[in-house]
Amino acid sequence: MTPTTPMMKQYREIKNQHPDAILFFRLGDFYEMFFEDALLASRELDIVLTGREASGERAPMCGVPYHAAEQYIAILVGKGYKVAICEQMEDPKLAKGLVKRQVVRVITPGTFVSSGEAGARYMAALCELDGAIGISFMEATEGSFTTMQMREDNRWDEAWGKLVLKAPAECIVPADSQVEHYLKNRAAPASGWRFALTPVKKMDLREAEQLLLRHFKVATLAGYGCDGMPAAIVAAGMLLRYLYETQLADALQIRSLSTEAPEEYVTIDPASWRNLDVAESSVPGKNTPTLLGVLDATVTRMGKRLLREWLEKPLRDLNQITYRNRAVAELVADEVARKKLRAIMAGFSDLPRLVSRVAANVETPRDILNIGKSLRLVPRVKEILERATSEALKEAICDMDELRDLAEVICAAIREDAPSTLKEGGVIKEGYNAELDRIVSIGRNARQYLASLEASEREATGIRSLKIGYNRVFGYYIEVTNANAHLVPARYQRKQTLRSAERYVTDELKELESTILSAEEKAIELEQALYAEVKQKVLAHIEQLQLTGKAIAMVDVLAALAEVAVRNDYAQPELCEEPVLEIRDGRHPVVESVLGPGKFVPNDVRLDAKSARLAIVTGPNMGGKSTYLRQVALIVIMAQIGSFVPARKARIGLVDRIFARIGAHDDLAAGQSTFMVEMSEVANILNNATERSLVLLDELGRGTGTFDGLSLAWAVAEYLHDQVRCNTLMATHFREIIELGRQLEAAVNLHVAVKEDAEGIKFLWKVLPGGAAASYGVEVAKLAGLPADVTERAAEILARLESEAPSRSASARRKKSARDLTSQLRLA
Amino acid sequence: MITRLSPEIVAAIAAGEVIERPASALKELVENSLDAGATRIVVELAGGGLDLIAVTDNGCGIPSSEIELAFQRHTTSKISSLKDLKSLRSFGFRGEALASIASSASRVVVTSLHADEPTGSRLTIENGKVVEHTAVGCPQGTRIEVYGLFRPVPARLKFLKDRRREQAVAQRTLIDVALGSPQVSYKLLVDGETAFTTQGEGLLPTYVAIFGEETELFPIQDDSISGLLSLNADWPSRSRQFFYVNHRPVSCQNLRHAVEAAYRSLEQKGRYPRFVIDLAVDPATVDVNVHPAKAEVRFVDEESVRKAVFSCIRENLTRRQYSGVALLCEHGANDYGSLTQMQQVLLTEMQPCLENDKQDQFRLLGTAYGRYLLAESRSAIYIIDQHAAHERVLYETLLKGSQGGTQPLLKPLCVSLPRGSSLDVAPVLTILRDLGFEAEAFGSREILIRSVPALSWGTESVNWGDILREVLAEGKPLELKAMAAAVAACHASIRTGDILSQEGAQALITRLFQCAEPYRCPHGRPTMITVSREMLEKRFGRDA
Repeated sequence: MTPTTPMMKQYREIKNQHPDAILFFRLGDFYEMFFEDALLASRELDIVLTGREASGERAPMCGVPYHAAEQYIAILVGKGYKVAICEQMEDPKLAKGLVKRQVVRVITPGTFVSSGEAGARYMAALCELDGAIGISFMEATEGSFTTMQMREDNRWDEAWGKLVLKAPAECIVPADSQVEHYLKNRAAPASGWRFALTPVKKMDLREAEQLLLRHFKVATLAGYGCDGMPAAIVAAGMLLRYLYETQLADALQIRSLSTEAPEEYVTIDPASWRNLDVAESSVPGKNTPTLLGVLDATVTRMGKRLLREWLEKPLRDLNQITYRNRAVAELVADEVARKKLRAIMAGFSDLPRLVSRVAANVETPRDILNIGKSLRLVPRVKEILERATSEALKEAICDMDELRDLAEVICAAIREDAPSTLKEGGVIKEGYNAELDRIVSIGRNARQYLASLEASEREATGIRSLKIGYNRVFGYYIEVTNANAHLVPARYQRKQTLRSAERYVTDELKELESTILSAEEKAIELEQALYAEVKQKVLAHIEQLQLTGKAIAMVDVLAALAEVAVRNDYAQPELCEEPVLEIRDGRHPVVESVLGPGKFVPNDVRLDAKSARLAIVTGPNMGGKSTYLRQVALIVIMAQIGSFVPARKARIGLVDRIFARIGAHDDLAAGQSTFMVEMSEVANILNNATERSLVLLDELGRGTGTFDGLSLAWAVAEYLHDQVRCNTLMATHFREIIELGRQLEAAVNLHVAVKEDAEGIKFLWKVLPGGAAASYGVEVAKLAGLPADVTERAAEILARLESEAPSRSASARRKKSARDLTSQLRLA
Repeated sequence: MITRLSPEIVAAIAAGEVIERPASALKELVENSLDAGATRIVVELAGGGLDLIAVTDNGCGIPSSEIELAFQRHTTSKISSLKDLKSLRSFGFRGEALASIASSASRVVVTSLHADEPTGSRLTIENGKVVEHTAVGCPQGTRIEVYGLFRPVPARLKFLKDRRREQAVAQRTLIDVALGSPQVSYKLLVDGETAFTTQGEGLLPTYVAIFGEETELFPIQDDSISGLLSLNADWPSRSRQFFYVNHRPVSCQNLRHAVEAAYRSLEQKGRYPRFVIDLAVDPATVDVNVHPAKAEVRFVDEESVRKAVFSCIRENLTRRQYSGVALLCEHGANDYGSLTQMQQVLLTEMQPCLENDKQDQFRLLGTAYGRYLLAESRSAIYIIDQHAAHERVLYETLLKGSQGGTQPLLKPLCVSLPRGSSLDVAPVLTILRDLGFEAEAFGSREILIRSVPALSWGTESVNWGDILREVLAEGKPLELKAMAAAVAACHASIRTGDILSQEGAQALITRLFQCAEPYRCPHGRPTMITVSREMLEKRFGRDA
């Protein structure tokens, strides 16, 4: 299969340099793929496979038009492939022999910056060095770059947790390393996140450090916070190197590196995160409402992304939270300012995304114009923020750079309706460049002259009905009816014959036409040069643009939180360091918005790690236990991102981690049964919770036999109370645990109120002190629609079982065996 | 044949007098919530209130033992003796509202939890009869849902076909209540979307939250008169006027006249003041029982109330207002803040008042600064921006189409559509032809114009080529027509420095007043400023 045409040789050469990517080979208006690539692309993209003769052989070929390439690239990248774009580097008309070609960009799942998508797209790099795992993340849209490392015993789990949370599209690992092995074998979680695993050449610490120093043009990495964190540095270096290699450019949009210190944020493991429906539904694949959905009243895309980030990383520092909270409160009080701000900000384009596109050289003129238009809105935003008194809003003003000159240049240069390519002209506004205007008017004048030619020709020939016309095939012509054909002078050259008329051209006409055409060409050339100038100016201001975008995003999120607080009647929480949780008339933000006004019953919470830290909640299923538990966690999260909370009053002690073991979903895909999943989550909790954590347990022990389940629940509750000593809410169907609630000194019993009457039971959804009087299991079954025969018989059996209640000594026996079980359960 | 009406029909008919439209039902329900001490009231409306009216409050709730009684006629918790009527402080008192609502709707569901009770109850009434009364878990307060209002009374429903109108009236009713009791927070959802949310922080914030940020009003607070006033009569209708007696929304013609009279020296025709005025009166001196919907009130001593209102408003206004040149001379500029504020007031004061003028009674006084025509009519002096006026005249002429005929061009004009533009030759041709141009295609993106619409005067020096190019460069296809007209008008118009002849100016003014919208040029700027004769007399102190 040796292709002998020069072009195929060229293809082979280039393809050999990129064996692992699909090569998009530019041929005129198409990107063509050959051989194996063609077969693959034809299958994956569902496009027609054709062939091309190459010295007796038929090479498989398929192609996509260049202006529609992005959508096809998106599909391939979405399936985990890499795409190498090979462009024609010179004008085919001018080339002597084979047109020079070169790969200008390699697009990978992680580096694909599309024009449509709004969400964040992450890329990650993992490595292990000296017993620490380094993870680095890059977000292609925002141009954000973070790195971190973990040293603790459970670092593999933590690393995995971080990955699941960020869900990167691509993960880079050193080839043949333990990290690669780990990721290959780690089962994908139920949420359906898939990533492309890309092994790359190993990188050592010095190499990574040099690369980073050179890119940021600094002498030390201390300013970025990762000094002395070798694994973090290597991970960051790997990621940056990969970006260089694929973009074949200097990754201009990456301006800084931030080091994440896990202690800054509340740790919420992926399972808890999903269980609480914070930003993803706890039921995989379903689109149930989430906290993010309720809170998201942002008006810009960058604001939307930032809100999600804030939810993923609730703060732990009181000052930082107050910083945000005060700004939200100010915007709640100042109705007028908030409404004005939101109205103006709605006009902003996705500044960080546009900037990234410019830096990556994939922008369209309209993108640049939108940057200019957005910049023009900045002074108006600043004006409103000027009368703000909270620090966050005042500082936002400083970060917003109006870049007036840049904005003016852009808006003066680029037309509103500029096309997405520079090849056809129509990009630069009239009045921006005198030379361009002159060339354009030459063309215009020529046309005008053409038009007036009609009058003069009429006079010259005496043919009154002579017309000058235009047609796409022949261009401009002079049309004379057959009746007058004999009056036509010699200089008329016949071009086309119609039924009733003849069409001619003259030298003058031809000359005018060519003037028009050449003017067009020159204009396009000049436009391209002018455009490049404007683009350079934008590139010179990337940092300011990104900062401005960040500041706008923050103001957007603060205003959105304020807006939601007003709409849904939230209150400003009081935050403190003491491990207390006092909420009056708290509501579940998602459930109450789904139910509608006047349906959700508010409830209080009172926890204090010193004197009342374990709250045991009993009562029938569907009585509101899970909702009660979840709303506590959500209120804490909302408070710790700086928002107002759905309650009448709230005093929240800052937590360091939140564990929510709620709901039972079989992770069958991963080969784990309900009980195993449950126990692993519990193990995680017992091993990692501190006394400043918040633990929520719902129906522990459900997935196994009754005695075993009860014993485990009992033992876990004791352990949390005695050893971990953090605030815990435990909802359980084992009423025996009520006894535990009475015994332990810092435990309280609560129950969901239920009213029993002639018709059955009614849920009151009110949480009251004391243990539940009964389980009402049979009554709930009745409500669910079980046939009366079944429920009556069940009631009979229940009565008999209850009268044969086991003695106290039996329960003591159970307790002891439970403690043994727990110690065996402490999984590493 | 005469038959006795069934009790249900009797009830429905009687109810119709109390509840005549969704807005009345809404008013009754919201007033009940206020009487229950609610601090937050959420109102949901669907189908203009004809499909659903729901009012949820966090008030004291209805005890389960009394919930059925509440929906029977002539039952109330607000008064128990005639004496109570005299010292009435609550909103509701007739004892008819809930019963009437229940009879007029296909279904009513009431869910309530009283403060002293552990369990709430839910009552369902269908076609006036109780079909379910059960215990239920719910938050403290009351929620009343009214489904299918007037479906049992189809005759009434026929009169209320226009849902949008009912929606507007109901919304206005809620706003009336909200501004009268602004210490409560309100939320209105219309067909699921939030229409407004107030926080119960007082009158001005509530007003701003409902109407958005308009030029602010200033608060007034005398012993018995409180509220908000606008600085001037600056609203084109009476829709921003709210009256209250003891927080109850009322209407009273005489009082309205009194307030508008207080604004008189600054008021022009077609401009009305905005205000929210709440009168605190001894309940014994006012009768609210005049009308079933309780809107009209009668005062024992109406004259003194009127006088009090008038003088209070007058005083507040003069304390705050700048009366333009005359006052400036009297008091000096420093008293009135920045000059621009004053200028703004001057501008809003002088509004056009054309209704009484016929153009043949104009006398041209001259032209100021080569730009403004000065004309005197019987009742006012007009200052007219000749360029803006000409724009308006040409704009409307162009939009009328080629009625004026066309004028062939000496040389056909070639205009090209901008490269990369999304416009296509064909639709542009259509629009140009509609405007009165004779045009055809002349290139892949070029158009040849052979004749232009004839605009009788002022168009000698028109450069159609430039005009059309400018329009086509910026136009989007759909608005091309209006844009074309606007830009053409702009270019064709008289410029500063063109001095019109007497006839020219007269003709221009005549045509201007014949326009459909003479006050603004196509771009939105004003065409004229009027200084009424009356105002001049007053300014110079000649109105004694």
